[in-house]
Amino acid sequence: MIDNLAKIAINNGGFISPLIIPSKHTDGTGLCNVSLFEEENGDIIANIRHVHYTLYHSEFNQKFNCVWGCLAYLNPEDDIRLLTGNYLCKLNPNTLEVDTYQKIDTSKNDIKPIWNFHGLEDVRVFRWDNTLYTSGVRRDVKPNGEGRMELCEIEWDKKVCIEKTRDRIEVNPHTYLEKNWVPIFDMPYHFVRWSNPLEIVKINPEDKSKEKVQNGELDIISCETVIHKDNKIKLPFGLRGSSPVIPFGDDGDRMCITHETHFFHHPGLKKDAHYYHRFIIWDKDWNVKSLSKSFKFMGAMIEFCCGLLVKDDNLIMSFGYQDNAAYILKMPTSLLSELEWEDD
Amino acid sequence: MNNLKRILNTYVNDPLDPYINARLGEEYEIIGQGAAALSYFLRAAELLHDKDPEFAYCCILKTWKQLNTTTRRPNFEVGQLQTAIAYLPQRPEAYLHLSIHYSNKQEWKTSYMYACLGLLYQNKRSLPYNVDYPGDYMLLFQKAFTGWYIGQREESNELWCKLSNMENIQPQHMDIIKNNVKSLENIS
Repeated sequence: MIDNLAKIAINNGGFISPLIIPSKHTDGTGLCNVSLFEEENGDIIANIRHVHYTLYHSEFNQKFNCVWGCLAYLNPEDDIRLLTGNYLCKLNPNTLEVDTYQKIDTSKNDIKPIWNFHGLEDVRVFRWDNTLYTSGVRRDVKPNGEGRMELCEIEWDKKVCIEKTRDRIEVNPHTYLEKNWVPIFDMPYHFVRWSNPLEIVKINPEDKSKEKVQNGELDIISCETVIHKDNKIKLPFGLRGSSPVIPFGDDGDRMCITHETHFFHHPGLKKDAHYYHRFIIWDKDWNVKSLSKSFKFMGAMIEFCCGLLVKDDNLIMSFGYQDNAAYILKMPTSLLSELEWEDD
Repeated sequence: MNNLKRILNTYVNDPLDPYINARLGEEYEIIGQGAAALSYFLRAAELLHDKDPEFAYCCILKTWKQLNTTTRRPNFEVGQLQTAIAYLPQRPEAYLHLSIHYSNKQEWKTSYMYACLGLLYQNKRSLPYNVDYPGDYMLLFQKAFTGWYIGQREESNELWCKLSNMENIQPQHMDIIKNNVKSLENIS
């Protein structure tokens, strides 16, 4: 396993930058899980998730648990909701730091939430057919917390940053929770739903319907599975979506970063988790070409990547650290060949 | 931001160095990013648990300080202060903050108790980072303040007078002290 990808990157021609939204907007609570997209003119835009809580995570010898244990969401104690807000940002082309930011105004489509996770979580930002979209999971419209991916059209200029449309993607057969579908940047309306074995779904934006829920009405669109491989790679944990899928190289390959989660319990039954990531590369026919060994970005137990770009000869990756901090890492693409891979 | 980036790079090269973790936490605190600051101060505290108790204690107080600034997490705050006391009971800072916490809630007896406990541990070496401890005088201040409400008015009067003659008291506290002494003079 690679326990510190950032160290490899910054000592071999890359760099790391913190991504910050001023605390006057956040009360200093967590910023994390940043997604990235490169516009046609070369500008890099990012979505930064603001979680409205501070994560307390005792990682080492468990000597300093807080009153709720080793892992706790420190949301306001008079308000148990876990709120997510999202900021669209333009990044400085040289430093990759936040140049400008605007909070996405979702009020046009909001209905009164009825579950404790509010907002669109782990957003990926991208353009399909020249339209700017965000996608993520929303769990606040049904009393049992059922989660569905949503595709939202965004209007964004210097004056406004608003969610114009919100389409909830229904699945058949029914499931309780759909999350971490990752958009395929060069295949409009396609998402990787599962990575191992691969399942790609195509959404049908024209197949619209309405669904009445307790506090309003949802715009629903359908989807269908268009690629389903059956060659599951034997791994200790399931591969889940992290970064979007991007074209890679000159042979029609595509690449993304996946994550996997190892849940375990400390003595006393306190639940804890390690998150790991991997690079996965598919050929043009969606056969797995390469799968890296798992890695940590900065060695923390909880890290989560939502962003990946190739720009010039570099990979640009963005990730959250313990849900409390957001970073962007630039790494020369050539370093990929020096990492450990499963098929080595 | 330049300081933050410089220390971040140092951190990436050695993420298990507790002192670098604490420096990174401090930089995040300076720019108001309390969540990130908490992450790194907590790591520092854990990594120093068996090696540098005063520094570890300071970092636990820093985790309290971040949420004290954010507000609306009172049970967490009390828990962190209790953690600090349980770990290093012979330091005064956490007693002071618990005393203030309970006086803010008008729980005078509890507040008075923590002020008295803290006063047992005066004249300690300063901690490496600011944990909002203006000095030992603040424990006397709390004792004077809360004593007034629990039937210790004579002691309270004496403490306000004593405080009014002390040096190195922050102006906003000295204003209150002098005001109280003046009120006492008017009463008598």
